[in-house]
Amino acid sequence: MKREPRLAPGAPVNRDLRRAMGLWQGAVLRMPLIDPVTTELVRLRCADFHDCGL
Amino acid sequence: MSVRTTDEVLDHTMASFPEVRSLIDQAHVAAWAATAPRLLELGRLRIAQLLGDEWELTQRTDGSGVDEATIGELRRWPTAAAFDERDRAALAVTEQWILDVAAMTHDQIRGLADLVGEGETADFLQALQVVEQRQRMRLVFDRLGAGAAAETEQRSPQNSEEQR
Repeated sequence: MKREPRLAPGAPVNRDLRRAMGLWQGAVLRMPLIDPVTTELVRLRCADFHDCGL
Repeated sequence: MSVRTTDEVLDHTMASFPEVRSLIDQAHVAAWAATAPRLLELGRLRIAQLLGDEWELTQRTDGSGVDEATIGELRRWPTAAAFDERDRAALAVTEQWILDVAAMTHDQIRGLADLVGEGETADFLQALQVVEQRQRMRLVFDRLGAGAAAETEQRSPQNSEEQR
């Protein structure tokens, strides 16, 4: 179930922090330690738990 | 046994993944640059208390404005006079983030956003994630490392001789 946004879409955010977080998370997903299917299942489970639209 | 710092644990664990290790540092620097240092320092220390990260609890962030008397009252933040409205709103979000992030309420988020702004709240949450992840990785990897070291020690030829 999707929740209503608590913060207004388009609120000014720090781009450097967003970019750094994106690069970190992208690099983690590319790590070869776990097979891609397991990685994706964990990612989707986390996104569901955190109600993350990404 | 000496206590390893967060950076030492991450350096050791991620020695084979220098790109990821470097990006963690970049995110850490960006987190502190993007956020009110006092709020993030209070959040970092409260996370350390909740997760039992004794090393992080001994650390202080220069220029955060959080003094030792305030840190001494941190477990009593809802009522202690050392904390203002902004501190309390940030600490309420921090505790909810650690204990059950999926149950974060509209009122908890608005409680902070109405005081510091929408963008600042979003930045605080991202920064909180960075300091939280560093501590969780430190705790898990440090214990995994200690377990692996003990296992290696038990399997060493010298110990095998002694056990015979």
